[in-house]
Amino acid sequence: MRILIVEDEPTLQQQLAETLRDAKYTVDTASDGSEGLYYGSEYEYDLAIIDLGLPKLDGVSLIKQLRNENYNYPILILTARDAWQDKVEGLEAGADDYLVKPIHPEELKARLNALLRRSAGQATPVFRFDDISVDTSAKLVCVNDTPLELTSYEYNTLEYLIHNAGKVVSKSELTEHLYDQDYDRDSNVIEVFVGRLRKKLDPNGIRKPIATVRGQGYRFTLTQPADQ
Amino acid sequence: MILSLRARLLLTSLLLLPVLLGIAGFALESAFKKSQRASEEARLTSHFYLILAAAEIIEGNLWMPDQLTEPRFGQQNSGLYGFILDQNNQVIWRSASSNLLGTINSSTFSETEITPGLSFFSEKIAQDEALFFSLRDIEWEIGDQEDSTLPLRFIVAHSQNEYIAALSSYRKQLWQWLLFLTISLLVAQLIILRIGMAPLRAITRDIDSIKTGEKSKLQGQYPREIGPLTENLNNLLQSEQQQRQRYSNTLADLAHSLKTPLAVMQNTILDENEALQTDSTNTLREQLDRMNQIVGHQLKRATSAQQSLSQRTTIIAPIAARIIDSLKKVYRDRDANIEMLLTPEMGWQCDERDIFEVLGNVLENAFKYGATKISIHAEQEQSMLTVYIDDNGNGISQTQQHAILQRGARADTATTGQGIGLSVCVDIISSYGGSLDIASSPDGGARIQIALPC
Repeated sequence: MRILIVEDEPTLQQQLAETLRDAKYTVDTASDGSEGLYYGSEYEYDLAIIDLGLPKLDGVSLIKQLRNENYNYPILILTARDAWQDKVEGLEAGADDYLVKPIHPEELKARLNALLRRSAGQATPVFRFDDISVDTSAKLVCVNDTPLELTSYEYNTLEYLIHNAGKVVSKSELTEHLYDQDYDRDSNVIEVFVGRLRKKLDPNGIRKPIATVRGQGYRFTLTQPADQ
Repeated sequence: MILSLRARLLLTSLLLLPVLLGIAGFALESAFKKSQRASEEARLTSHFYLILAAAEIIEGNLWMPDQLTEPRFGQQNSGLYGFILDQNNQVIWRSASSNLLGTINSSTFSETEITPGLSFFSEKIAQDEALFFSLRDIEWEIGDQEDSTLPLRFIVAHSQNEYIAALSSYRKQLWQWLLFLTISLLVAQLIILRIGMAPLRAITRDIDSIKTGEKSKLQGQYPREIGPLTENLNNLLQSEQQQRQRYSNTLADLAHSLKTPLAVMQNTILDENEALQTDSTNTLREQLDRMNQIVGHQLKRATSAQQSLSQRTTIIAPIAARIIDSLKKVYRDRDANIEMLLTPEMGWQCDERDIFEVLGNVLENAFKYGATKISIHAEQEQSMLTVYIDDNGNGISQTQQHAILQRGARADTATTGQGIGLSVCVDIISSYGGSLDIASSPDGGARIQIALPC
């Protein structure tokens, strides 16, 4: 899951980025509104965190422009405690949730999770596909109730695929959502991650949860029971 | 009680005008009387000469013709009478008109002896008739002998009836005109006041529109006399606005420069905390939390306490609707049922941002603490509008209620969460002279009632 942080205060920006990277997210940072607009429209993000008081282009205008250009990923705004009017304006401009400074990492992670889940149309944080369960808030994957040991990249690849279950996801799309913009991309690495994931999720090769669509990419084949 | 300028001027006029016009009335009346009496005297004198001209002394006795040239002397009760008395004060001749006057003798008009050369004009009531009379004593020389004279007293009297009638008609006319004059003057004064006071009313109107926020200073042309006043008022307003702006800018700068470092410190501690959770980091974190709250709380208090002169009424419903729409978006999983019964004209004399803050905090709490049904209604009583926000959430415990409602409760003693938001609301509301109360809602949750001037 790739997240854009637009925050002008360098230390706060750095801390937010670290918190999110520790939580296995891919993070890009921008320090003012116009930089934010550039990143926000140039790369594919799953979510953006935008401070409302930004230099060059203020947060509300940034959100409006992104929404006008049809970027529909969830947006979380950061505000001061005593700025209800700003909060309302931000939400009206197209943001989905707000967080009041100072930011508590646990609360931030919970909000991000809820927003990402919501954008995937998922009501609960836990996805269940037969004997495979993915808890997106704990970032925990279990097969037959046994937790799997996954690296960040493996987990992120899986989470992106299950958020788009049934759809074909190209290698380049996966790369976009897994790496920040400074990373030296190599699509062969994706093949390696998918290969490892297949082995861990389905060691006996019975279910084949991740199918390869020749020339196009990958597709997560399992579906959740109807009551999910 | 302090009377208005208009009332003062009118009251003074009402007291002074009748006195002045009354004096004028009396002066005019007495002048009229004087002139009437003077012309009466002149007429009587000419009648006297008439009688004197008609009189003749024949052989030492007075002889008068039957008819005088003035016919009224011959008519009964004509009101004009003539008498001639001899030195013994015996009436030796009286005009035919005086027949019905009854006995007339010397003492009727004057008891003095005949003194040749005596002449006066006076008035008398004789036989129930008020009379003016002119009395003249003469010495009539008889023949050539110097010592042979006949002293005679001529009295010409005229009834006062005509004079009284003329006077009363004059008086009636005079007072009618004076009354008319009084009313006209008062009306004229009202018009003068209206025109004269127009600039003052214009100032009052302008100040009102400054209060309601339509204008920021006194505009337009004012007369020379109040020019310095409006100029000074404008200067005062301008310097007040600038000062307020400076103050608010300083506070905003302070808020910004304090909040960010605090947030950074807090996040540093929180980051460290996961790896190294010791008592000292916990204490540090708590203290930083408090500092953050104190800064936020005190700055909010400072900015909302400095109210400006402007008391614009802000309509509540659109703000509440925007907050509710925003919160519905954030809590879209909740599927809350919101009923808003505010009419479009309901408003508070309160800054828009402060209404956002108050309603935002209260409604956010309702959403945050499990409400699925929220209803907002309002009641107006005199100059206060009370808005009730009922929810079916978890409610607020007695202990929390107490902590929140303690006016001016220090932020560092307030509990986290619900407490801070609501005590900020309490501070904002009390700075406008309003009140916030917490009760139980009919739906089982909390009822927040906010009363503010409208």
